[in-house]
Amino acid sequence: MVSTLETRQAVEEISGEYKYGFVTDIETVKAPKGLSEEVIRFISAKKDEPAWLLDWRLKSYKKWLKMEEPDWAMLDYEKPNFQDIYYYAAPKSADDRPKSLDEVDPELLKTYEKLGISLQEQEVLSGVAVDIVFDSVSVATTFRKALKEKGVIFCSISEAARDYPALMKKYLGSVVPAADNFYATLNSAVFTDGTFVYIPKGVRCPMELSTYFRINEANTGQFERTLIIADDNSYVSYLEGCTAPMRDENQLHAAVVEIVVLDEAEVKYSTVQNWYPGDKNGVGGIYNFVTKRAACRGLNSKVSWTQVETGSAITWKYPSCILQGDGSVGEFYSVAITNNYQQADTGTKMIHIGKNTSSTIISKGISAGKAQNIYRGLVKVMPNAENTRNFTQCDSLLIGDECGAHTVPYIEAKNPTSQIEHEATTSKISDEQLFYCLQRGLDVEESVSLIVNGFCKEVMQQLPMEFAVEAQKLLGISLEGSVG
Amino acid sequence: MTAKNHLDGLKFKAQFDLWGGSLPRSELAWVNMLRQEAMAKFLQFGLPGPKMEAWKYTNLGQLNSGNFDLLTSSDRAGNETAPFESLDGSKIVFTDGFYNKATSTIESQKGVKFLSLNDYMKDYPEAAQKLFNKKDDGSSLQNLNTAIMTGGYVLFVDENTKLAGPIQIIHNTTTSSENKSITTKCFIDLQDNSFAQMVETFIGSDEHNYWRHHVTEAIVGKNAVLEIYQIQQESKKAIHTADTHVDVDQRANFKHYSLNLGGKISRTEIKPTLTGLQSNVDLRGAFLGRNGNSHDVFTHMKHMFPEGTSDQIYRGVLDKGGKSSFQGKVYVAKDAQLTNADQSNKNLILDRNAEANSKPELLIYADDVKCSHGATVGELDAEALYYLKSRGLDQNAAKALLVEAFVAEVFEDIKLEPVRLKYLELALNWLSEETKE
Repeated sequence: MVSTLETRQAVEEISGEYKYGFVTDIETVKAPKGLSEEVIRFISAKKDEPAWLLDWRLKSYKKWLKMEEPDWAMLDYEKPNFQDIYYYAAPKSADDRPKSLDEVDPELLKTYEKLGISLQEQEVLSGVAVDIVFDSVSVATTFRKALKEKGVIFCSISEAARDYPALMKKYLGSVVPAADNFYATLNSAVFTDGTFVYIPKGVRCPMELSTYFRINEANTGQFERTLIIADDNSYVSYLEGCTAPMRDENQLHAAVVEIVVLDEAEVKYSTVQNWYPGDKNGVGGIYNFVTKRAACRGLNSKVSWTQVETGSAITWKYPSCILQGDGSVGEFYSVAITNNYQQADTGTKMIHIGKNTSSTIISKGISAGKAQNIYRGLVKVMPNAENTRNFTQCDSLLIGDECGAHTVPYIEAKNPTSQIEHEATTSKISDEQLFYCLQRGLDVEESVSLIVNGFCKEVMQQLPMEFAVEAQKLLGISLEGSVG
Repeated sequence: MTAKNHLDGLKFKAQFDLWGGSLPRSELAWVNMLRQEAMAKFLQFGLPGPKMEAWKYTNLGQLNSGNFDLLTSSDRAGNETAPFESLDGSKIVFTDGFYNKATSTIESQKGVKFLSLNDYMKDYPEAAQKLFNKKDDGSSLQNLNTAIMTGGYVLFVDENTKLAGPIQIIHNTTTSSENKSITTKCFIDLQDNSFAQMVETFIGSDEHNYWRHHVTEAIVGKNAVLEIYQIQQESKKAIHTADTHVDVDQRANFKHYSLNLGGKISRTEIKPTLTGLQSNVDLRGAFLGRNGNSHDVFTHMKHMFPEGTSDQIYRGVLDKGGKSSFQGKVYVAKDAQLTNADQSNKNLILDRNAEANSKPELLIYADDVKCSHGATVGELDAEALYYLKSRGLDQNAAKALLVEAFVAEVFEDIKLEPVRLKYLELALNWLSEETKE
């Protein structure tokens, strides 16, 4: 039988090739390769930054020089050569920013269209304001006006440094200090751009804020810095999603996300991460070393992290909550899928400081191929944190006999009134489950996708609508080729 | 040179240079060589430091800074109370780490070889040499143990032989133990289809400051059963470290029970390796801490073969000034399919000035396994307390009853009745001290 073009395309699609692996060719302005004070000054000058920020960067850089790359994670990778990375690359139009979408480089717009996030479409249809980071500089921001009316500040972090120095000075580095850890310190020295969000008192952000990141230029480290401040009685839901083009060399990504939540405020932070995981033989892929932390500083403040991690060759990421304010709530919902040679060491930290604080951790790890998937989490109760509650559930699913699933939870309690529960299980897809699905007419891949989606349901339910659909598809795509 | 995150341990080297030659059996060339080599290996690393992941909750800094000199002999009479008058059979006593022949009674049995390690090294040098360095897990403490050990025992049980009764091992101390290292090592080898029970007690004298380091290396042959019962009642100032390494062969059974009550710093390490099909390991323990006790239980279960089962149950009760940590690791190798591994650690915190840490860890490389762990930290169930009070019990009695039940769960499946009762008695005594306050 002769296969039609359509079926061939379908087969190609299913074979698990990374769909977003294309490279846009746009002339970029680069800082010289490597890291030095000059490069940091160059970045700062390019950004037209105030002097205090340059000082902050340089101080961080000096601290970083004395730090050692951590090796406690159960990850096996070639350490990046920090002198072989471009720390700044901006689309050429950076000096002359476009005033509207029409002025945006058409090549860029095409890239976004391939990704299915046409700006115009999003502006009109989805009601999501998108602040796109293309490599390092924000090139287009939409819905600024609608947000401005409410008093919401949603802009790039370089703009914030110029326009809102008081807020920036007060909160930048207040959750993740400049010298927090190796990669966060590196980020503090060289961060090129990112998002700044401020929700004023009593404001419920009228739309879900979203940033699409894209790593484009070869050999470019991407160092975003995100700072979200939710003032008293405010609410915001922030979405973060990422795709990256196919590259053979490993690309380093070391972002920092800081969230400050004040009295009665709530922040919901959702991530879908599907960066290039490397090919079937473990060549290439993104190194994702991220520091994400939220400080619940006020009374009854709440933060909720939801993440779906399907991409990256190496993931090192622990979105954490510092529950400082009395009655504050921290949540962490995570699905991490690793296939082929991917490695993920991910989890959370819940630090209970205030009274009556509570936290929930639901983590689902799925490991297939030759991948290693590690949950690492800390629940810490300080002596004065009365009546704290924590519930943790970590489930791991193994697909195939060459992968690994590991759980490394830490519980540290210093208060007699706290209740901490931790449960973890590891299992595989049972033959009965598979047989039932097959018997209903599903093929093996559909069955696995269905079962995995069921396994992850508790987490997927936490995602905003916009993400839920994409994420469900991603689960299927990520596991293609892992069964049979 | 000291390895990263380790403490140098140079004081032990200085002591060893002074006294190493006078330690028991150092007059034998091979023992002297064995000690020298072990000391050299130890110095490559040094003592484990607090920045090491496995030693996160227990700081041995005191060993490095304090003085824990070597004892070359002990002639004082030990504390001769045997913890289990009701237990018959052999009894071996180590006073300050030295075999105390006068207070030991060793009954001979066909197919069983049970004697002091020092005697074994002298009488069977060739066989004795083979015992050492089989289980080099890279742990520097183990090398230090070999370098400075002063006593211990060996137990060999032939095929199809069942020990006539449980063997009692008593480690006690005298005033000579002040500021000393007390180092013992023992070897157990059970052939196929054999059976042995060991009841091991560590008792400290008064409030002496000493470091006791005890290492047990065991092999459990096919279908054999080894049960080890440990009770730790060291001096309030003592540092106690006890390591058990055991290989569990096909369909063999290893059980380890422990009750930790004393010591300023106590660390119980149990590292079973399941080296055959369908082997089974059960680890049970309770640690009760107050007034500066710091208990650390560290288990590393290695499933290397298919169809093995392991179960760990640990309970901690922490009162004023008590601290504990449970670090339980379950490793399932790629070939160990159909493994069933469970782990449970529950902790009760009774006072504001108490701390419980728990780190149950799963490392799984096989896909067809059932592994679970559960850990909780909390206070007594308010509803249960209310129920008991509504039945007429006062607050203290109700609390004591609940705590007792919480601890008793660990020991309820012990078939050796005198031991089970002893465990309960000791736990109850501890609990009643608490309610008096």
